[in-house]
Amino acid sequence: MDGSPRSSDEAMENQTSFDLSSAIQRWRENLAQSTTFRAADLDELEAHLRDAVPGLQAAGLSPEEAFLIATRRIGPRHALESEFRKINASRAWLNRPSLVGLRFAMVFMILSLFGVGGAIEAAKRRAISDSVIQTSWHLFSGVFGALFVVMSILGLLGYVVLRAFSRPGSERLANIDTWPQERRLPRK
Amino acid sequence: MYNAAMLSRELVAASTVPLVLSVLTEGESYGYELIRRVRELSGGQIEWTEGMLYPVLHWMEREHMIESEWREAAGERRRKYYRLRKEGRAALKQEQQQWMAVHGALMKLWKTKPRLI
Repeated sequence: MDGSPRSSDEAMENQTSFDLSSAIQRWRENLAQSTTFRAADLDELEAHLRDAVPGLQAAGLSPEEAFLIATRRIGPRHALESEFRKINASRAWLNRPSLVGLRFAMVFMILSLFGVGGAIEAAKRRAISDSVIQTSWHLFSGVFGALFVVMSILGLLGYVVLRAFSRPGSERLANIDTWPQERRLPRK
Repeated sequence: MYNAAMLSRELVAASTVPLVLSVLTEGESYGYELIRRVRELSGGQIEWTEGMLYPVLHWMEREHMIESEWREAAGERRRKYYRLRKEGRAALKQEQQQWMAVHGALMKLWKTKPRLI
């Protein structure tokens, strides 16, 4: 029920006037949404696409057909992402399951930072009126402050240790098992 | 479409490094050309999901098997060229021994001579 005749006319028009360079641009932008790819990776993939399209056009395909086949041969974004992630591991280190502990520490650091800020603010407001509450708030902010320092040290320590032991190259090529084209054995 | 002569994905993954190293013994090359050369050599039986070659190339570079350089050949597009290093030649030698061991054993069992396609 969607699309008046006018809009389908427009779609047809867009189809016939296919703009290759803007299609390549859009394709690249789509990949660039993922933080897994470095700019140089995208440059290289784009150079590949720009090499592949003319070859397919020479075989008689339209620019649009050549673009579709070339991008399909390069592979879908999720598959590229999972393979590039193994290589660009330093970019994706936050997503490593081994670093869950570090993230936990960071959350604590941030929470205790808020705690310190809030406690100091509250202490300022109550400073004159009630000296007893003031001291308890000082104690409270002191606890949060100590927690912050401890968590910071733990977080940094965890980061350094995990970085040292998780060399990106340790994920060997043997793990690159998703990269050939999906091919299944024929059923009987 | 499934082609019975095409390599399984495990075999494709295992053979990529020796194939890349071997093609690079012919001289430096870039990704698209490497893929074209392998397709040509295998008579179309080795088909890669092309984008997936790049992480492998980057891994090989980090292992010092190959080195790369962005360059603009005269009248050509800017491309990243890969070239074999000493460690790559050593790795290729090892790969050759391993592949020939498997190949030799199978050939004896099958009592057949290798033929192309």
